[in-house]
Amino acid sequence: MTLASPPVPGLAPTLRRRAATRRAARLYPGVYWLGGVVFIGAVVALVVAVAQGSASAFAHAGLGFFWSTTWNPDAGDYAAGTLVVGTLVTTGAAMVLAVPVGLGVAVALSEVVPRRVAAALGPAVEFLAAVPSIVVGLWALLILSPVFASTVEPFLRGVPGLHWIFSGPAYGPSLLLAAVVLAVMTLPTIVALSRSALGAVPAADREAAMALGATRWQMIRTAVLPAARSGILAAVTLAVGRALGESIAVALVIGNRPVLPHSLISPGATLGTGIVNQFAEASPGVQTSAVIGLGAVLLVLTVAVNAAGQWILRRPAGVDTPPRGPVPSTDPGAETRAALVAHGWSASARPPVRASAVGTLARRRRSGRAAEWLCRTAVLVGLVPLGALLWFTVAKGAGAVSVSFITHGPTPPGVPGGGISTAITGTARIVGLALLLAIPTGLAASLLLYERRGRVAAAVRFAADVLTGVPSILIGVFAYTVLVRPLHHASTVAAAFALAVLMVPIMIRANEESLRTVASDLWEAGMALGASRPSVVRRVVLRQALPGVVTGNLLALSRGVGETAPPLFTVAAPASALTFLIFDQATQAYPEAQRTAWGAALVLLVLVLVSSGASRGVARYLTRKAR
Amino acid sequence: MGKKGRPWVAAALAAGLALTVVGCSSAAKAGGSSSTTNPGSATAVGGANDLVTAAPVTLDGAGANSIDPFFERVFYDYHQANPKVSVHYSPAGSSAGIKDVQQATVDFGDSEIPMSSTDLAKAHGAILQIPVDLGGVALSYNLPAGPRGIKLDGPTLAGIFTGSITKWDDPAITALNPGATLPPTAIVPVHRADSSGPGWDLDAYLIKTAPAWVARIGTTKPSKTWPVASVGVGQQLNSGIATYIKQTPGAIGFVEFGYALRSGFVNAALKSGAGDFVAPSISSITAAGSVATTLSAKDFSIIDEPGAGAYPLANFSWTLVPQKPTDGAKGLALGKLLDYVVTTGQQVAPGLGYAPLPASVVTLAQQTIATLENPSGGALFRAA
Repeated sequence: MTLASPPVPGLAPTLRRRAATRRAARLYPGVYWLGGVVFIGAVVALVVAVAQGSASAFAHAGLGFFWSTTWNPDAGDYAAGTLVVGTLVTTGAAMVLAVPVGLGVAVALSEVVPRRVAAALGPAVEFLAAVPSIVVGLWALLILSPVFASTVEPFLRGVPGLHWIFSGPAYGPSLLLAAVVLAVMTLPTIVALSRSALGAVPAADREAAMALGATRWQMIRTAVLPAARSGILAAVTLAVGRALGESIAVALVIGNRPVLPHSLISPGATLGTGIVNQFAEASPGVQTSAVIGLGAVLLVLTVAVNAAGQWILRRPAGVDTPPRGPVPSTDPGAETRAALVAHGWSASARPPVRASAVGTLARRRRSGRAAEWLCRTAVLVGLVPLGALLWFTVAKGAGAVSVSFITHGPTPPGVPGGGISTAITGTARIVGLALLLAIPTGLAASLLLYERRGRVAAAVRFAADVLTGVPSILIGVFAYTVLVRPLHHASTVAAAFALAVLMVPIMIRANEESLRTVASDLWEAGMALGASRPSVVRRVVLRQALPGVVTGNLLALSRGVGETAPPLFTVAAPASALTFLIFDQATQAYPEAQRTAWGAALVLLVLVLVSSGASRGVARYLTRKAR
Repeated sequence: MGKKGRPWVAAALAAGLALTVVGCSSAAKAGGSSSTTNPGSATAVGGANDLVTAAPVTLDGAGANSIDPFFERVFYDYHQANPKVSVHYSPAGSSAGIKDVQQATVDFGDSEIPMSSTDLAKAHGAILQIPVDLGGVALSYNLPAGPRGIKLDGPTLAGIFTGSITKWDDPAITALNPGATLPPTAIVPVHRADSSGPGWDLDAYLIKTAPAWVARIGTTKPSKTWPVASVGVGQQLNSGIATYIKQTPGAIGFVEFGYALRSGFVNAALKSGAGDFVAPSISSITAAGSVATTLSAKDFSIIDEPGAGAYPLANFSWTLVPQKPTDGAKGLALGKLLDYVVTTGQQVAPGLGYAPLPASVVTLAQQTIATLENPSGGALFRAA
């Protein structure tokens, strides 16, 4: 670091600087309090908007709203029952598909396959976790759905003994297809989080198991998996939360039939698709209120699940993510084991010796090898849909993308030469404005968490937990309710506001985590040199935490770019945002519209890849520079 | 003291970048090629202020999905001729159009079914309803080996959409199509998952022609929400139905004729009010529109009217505009735009699957446009 000396060494500039420093010192708490209060205010406003918006529906339908099964706007009957069932069934089926495969992949990557393979697949999995759900939906609608109608569903219908879950006509769009979409969408999340939980199991635990004569698989089963259990459980819970709330991609493939399902291959509907399909057209009054009521039910469901996940994740400190930045000197494993035991998890309580007493070494090796092959198979099973998704997006998209496709605006049917320039600039404007709103708020609120431990800090943390679990569709509804309707105008600002609400909690968590990794002796050293608190925070803490802060904010950005629901509810026309455009064009029956959708999906994918790649690159660069 | 802390620099860079993006894109938006062609007759609004020198105007609209291909084309053409006027139309559905007009979140709405007096009462201020296109609803099907133009009547369609007719070679269908060989393929009926104008039209047709349908739905009042959602597949918007039909052998569904035409679908010939079987086409929809001699927003239905060669599922689409727009410049631009839509704009209609408006309806539309008012009161347009 170079110190620029003042041009004239004199007293006046020094005094001026001192005064400025004092002003900054006075302002600093104000800044972080403001950030915290603004954030809490937004979350409270969201909850109030949903509660208020749905009040008249609950008054109209009573408690029956939750379980009654008729939804008939013409008769004034509104109830969420069938949609709750559809939501639970699709999410449940998705988890039946995704959890075993995801766990298998995580175990394989962390324990079984050669390190080089794992190193190649790891980032790929993390990138897949960032693939926008609309792209998954597009692929499922245009590629999977015809295959389901012609092959998969008729086959399942013919499997003896499974008639009770697979029966009726094979339409393609179905609860099952929706579940597959949700499974593909949540698989990378499950893999990435479970893998980091497995990776955080201390080497000492593994070595102990091996020393006691366990085979590799016995070591995994008796030492590694139990120790990573809470992290894995948290990964699954977060995946469940995401699956419950995913709406746009599901609406493309579920068949939208709001009746109680009798078979997994029959069309259905979920709370989220109910909102997608009904919100735009619901007439003011009870109908709108009932649609927001669906949102209220969804909010309660997802927040409960997500809060459970956060709670599990937080409980044993240090298991969830490998520590970034300066590593604490204590052995995290010891803490983890203590915490796990304290909470009743038998971390390594079952000694591997007992297992080793059963069967000969040869048999143990055989069964171990079988289990490991199962994990390797899971990698293949997991890679097939994810690979197909990427392949189709690139192959179909590449045929559409050209220079004029990117630089020209849309043309009406029959007029050639249309492109997606308005959608690209629209998305850029929305995301840019959202970052302007979100970065300062996120940074200020995370500083509040760093500086204070009182009730407000607890409230901010709680609000961030709640908000990360809120499905984006609800945030879209919220932005519509507080900005579009009162201002009588669909706008970029409203879309940016919605995206900011979505991004801030991600930023707060990432920022706080990075701030916490800054070693306390650096902080003490700064204070000991007589620096003011704000200047220590600014020059020492934030500088050290910068890689993490930038990474977190870029991740939030890549999430924001790919969100469909916020623009869907807030901008004037599909051509004003990439994701909205894909949603609109994907459902058109014309080849040229579908080409546009694939092309836009490829552009979107590249944008997400660039921003998530940038986040890694910037983090690495800054970390190296800080050393 | 030295450099400012780098975190701030990074934040400032990010902010600057974002601002640049915002700035650039608003500049880019003003693009659009100039054109020397002038939109033709603006008879009703000829005396209005000239827009050429006015500031750029962006008009936001939302509503019927069925009119979208026509609107997109007309608005595009208009923008080419008048680069200062940009129009965004969100084809979210007729009900969405009505709701957005009631809540004044758009400059104009559009609905296949005009607003009822109950709907109008929920809006702030008077709403003008202007007929802007004449379209039809096709019953399109996907039968790769089957005949084109299968004949269907109300009772058969009711059977298909209530699930009592499940195969294409059902006796009820073969009886209407002597000589045609129908495959034993399963029928997959597709209906709208959202509320819709085409759904209203078909519901109205079935109520008029199929007693079994009335018995099933228990009402004689047509509904925009598809009444038998438990049979078949629900899809969003015309586009969702069209995509599904295209993907699914055996499927049949109702779509706006413009969508069916562009998708290259084969369509059923429906039993008309005059007793013959009529397939949707520009001429049969034109014939259906010509019976609308007493058209008004209250008396709008031309479903299953007797008339030689008249397609039974035809309808007008209605643009909804506040009579007194809050922004005078926008009001002027909108009035001129709508006048263009009902006159010159009709020339592109047949190519997109819509019939040109009958002369009497154009007159009705222009008379209605002429009653637009200034924000301060008084007519927006001087009489031509």
